[in-house]
Amino acid sequence: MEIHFSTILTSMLHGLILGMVLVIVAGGLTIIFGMLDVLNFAHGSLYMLGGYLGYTLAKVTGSFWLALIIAPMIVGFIGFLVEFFTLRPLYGRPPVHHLLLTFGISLIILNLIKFVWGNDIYTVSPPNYLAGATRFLGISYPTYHLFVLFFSVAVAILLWLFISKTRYGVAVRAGTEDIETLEANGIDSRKLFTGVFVAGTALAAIAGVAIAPMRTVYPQMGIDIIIDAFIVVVIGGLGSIRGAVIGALLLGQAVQFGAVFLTGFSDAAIYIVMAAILLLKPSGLVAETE
Amino acid sequence: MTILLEARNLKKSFGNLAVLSDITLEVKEGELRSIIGPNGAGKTTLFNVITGRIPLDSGQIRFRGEEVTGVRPHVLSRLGMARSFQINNFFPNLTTLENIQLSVQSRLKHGTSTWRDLARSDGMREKTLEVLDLIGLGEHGAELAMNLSYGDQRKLEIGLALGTEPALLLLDEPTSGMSRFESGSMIDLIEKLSKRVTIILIEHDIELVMKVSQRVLVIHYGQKIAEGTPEEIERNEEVQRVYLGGL
Amino acid sequence: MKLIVGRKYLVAVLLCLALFPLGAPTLFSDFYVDLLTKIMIFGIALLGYDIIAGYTGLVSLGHAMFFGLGGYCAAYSTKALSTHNLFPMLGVALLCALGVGLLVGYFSIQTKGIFFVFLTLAFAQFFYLAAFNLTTITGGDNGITLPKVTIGIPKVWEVMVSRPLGFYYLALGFLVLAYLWCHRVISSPFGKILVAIRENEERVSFLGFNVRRIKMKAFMISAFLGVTAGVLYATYNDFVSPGMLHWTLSGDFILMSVLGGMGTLIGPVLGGAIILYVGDFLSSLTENWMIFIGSFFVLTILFAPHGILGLMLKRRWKKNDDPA
Repeated sequence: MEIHFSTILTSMLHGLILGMVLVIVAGGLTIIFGMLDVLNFAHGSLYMLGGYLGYTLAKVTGSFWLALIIAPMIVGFIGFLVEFFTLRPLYGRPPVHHLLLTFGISLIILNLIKFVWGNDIYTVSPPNYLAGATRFLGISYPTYHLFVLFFSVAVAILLWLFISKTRYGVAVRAGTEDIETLEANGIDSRKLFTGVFVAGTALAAIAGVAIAPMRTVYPQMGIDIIIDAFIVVVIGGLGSIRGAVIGALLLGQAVQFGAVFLTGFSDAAIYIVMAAILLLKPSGLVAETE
Repeated sequence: MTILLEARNLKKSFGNLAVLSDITLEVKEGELRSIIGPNGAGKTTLFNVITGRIPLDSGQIRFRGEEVTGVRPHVLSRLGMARSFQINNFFPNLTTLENIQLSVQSRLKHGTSTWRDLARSDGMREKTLEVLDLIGLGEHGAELAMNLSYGDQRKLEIGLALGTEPALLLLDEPTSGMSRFESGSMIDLIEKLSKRVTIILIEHDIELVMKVSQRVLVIHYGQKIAEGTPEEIERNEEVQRVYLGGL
Repeated sequence: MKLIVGRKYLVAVLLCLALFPLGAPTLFSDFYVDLLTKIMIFGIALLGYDIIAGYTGLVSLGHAMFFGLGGYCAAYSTKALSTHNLFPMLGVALLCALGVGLLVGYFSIQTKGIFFVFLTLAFAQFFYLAAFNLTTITGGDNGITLPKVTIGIPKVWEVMVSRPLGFYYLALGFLVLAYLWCHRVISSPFGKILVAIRENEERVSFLGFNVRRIKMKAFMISAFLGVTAGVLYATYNDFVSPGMLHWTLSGDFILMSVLGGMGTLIGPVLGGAIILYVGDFLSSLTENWMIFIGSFFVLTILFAPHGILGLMLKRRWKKNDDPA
């Protein structure tokens, strides 16, 4: 296979987009962990729920944008229900219980989705003006893909602004390190936890909707993304947002290049990397200096 | 008298904060040595590096003549060093008896066997009862550790260390959080123990320290500021200053 | 804690299990014998998992790795050793478990909690992907078909394992042996250390125990039982595929263990029986029976974290306790 610049550029863009979507998903996951000390197994299934809801909403309302706005709201609400009724009672318990709980929740959601939508794969059409391809730098690249890229970068920037500039954002960052000091300052940690969880799940849903026209919504998508998200979170360091960003971008490129230039076993290589990091530098590749 | 523990030039920093700066101490067999100092002086850290709980930045430790710097906790325990913790560190969901049994089990020949049943043989029973009697919890054997009174829990803390038949016992603030009344029986226990085993004691209760210790070491900001008999320490001006006249 | 469930109950259950197949096919269909065989084979794997997860507190997402490994070892033995005999297959599988267990265990044991979960997941997925992608060796997603197995001494005296009765009693025999062994381990000094590690690992090391080595031993026990179950499962179904290695199967083991009650030996086996039976029953009613299992699981974690057995025992304990 000849290595053209166009191939590399296309691959890089693909990897970048995958990476950015992962940033959103893994970002939510890592903040939830940093804050609540809960590893949300259900994150992948909520991403998937977002995608399927997005599909239905788009079909029903005829508007992709409406779907993009409403689906995360619905999923966020479900996230609220999950946090309020199932996670909150468990906050005093050993962390194993949280793991098991979110694992159980993910099973329920995954199967609920199967129940409502069946085992089918659905295609979601992007808005007309985003369909087709754009030519630049000598390649012809799907326009919608580029939209996803800009969109996820925008979401990531908004998130970053929120975390670093607003009061709530500061509370979130502080909360991932030391919740007691926050409480001493009069912030209701329980409301904060709920808020973080809802935000995290809504983010996952946004990613699910956004990526739907690119990858379709299919029954395996929840399981596929959760493993990738876990890997990103581990590589980046649990609770580290910056780490999640870097890890996601790295993984995006790695998966993409692996898929193009290596064959199936490349997936396994990622697990080796994850295992290596867990053993050698469990705090993640990115040093937390915040 | 032989020197049981030799710690030389111990240094430990957390990031930019030097918690231990060049601490040296020697403890002879049969001694009861106390370590006092204000909060944050580095006393528990000292215990932590000696017992291998956290790594040293530099320095050497010799125990019973052997070089043990950087050795892991379970090895040190086998060599005869045992410690109790400032914050209760026992097994809450096991009974008092089971807690001590575990400790005693560690020294028995088939203590890690996946086959034999030790409950009746190998002196398990006698040794366990002996420890329980020593710490005065003989009547609470069947109670879950988490249901014991705080004072009794602190005794269990020590009991766990005793079961391993140590030559050197490091006690980290055993009366921490205790009322005056509870402290009394703890003092008695420590005095009793001092006749059987070498003890290094970290304490805030100055009265206790002055009463039982043979030698006292005063630490402040990770450095040794005084060392001597209780009387010498009491008269030491710098120590008085450090404790803001609270001796 | 002595025997969780009284010896009399266990013997009674054993008798029932031993006599059960005689009722087929007259009293009830062969289907139940088949189901019970599967339940008992899973039970062996679940016993192993309880040792490492329930008693030692090391919840892993990698148990399926050993289960599948057993299956593939069985398949490999038929090719490499040209044998249909179960015992050489078991031999190969146990050797493999030794190697893989030591390797995976050595690395995994250095971590705890969430990192342990991830690491075991990573190792398990690695094996899954290997099985899936190395199609020349493993047949990929198509799996490998196994011939009907025999037991006995190879070349000297062998007999084909009959279905359903032969396999049923074989599984029962192995389950009983596995249980007796696990019970021994749990009642031994080693077993008490495991529980202590789960309670407070640090203090255990300060008492002089080499925690890493002890965890390794527990891990190896779970490995041996896991591959044994895997061999039996693959030879029973005459088939092994990458699905036997997938992490979702590890998830199933967790499901079964928690539902039944971890740290009781009987609990996980019971949990397995319930899920396999109810699952089979429900799946004939609706395709989405997992929703019920999942919901039940969540309810269990919330309200009965010690599982079904925990609930049953609590009631008994409450009756025996003096109101104090």
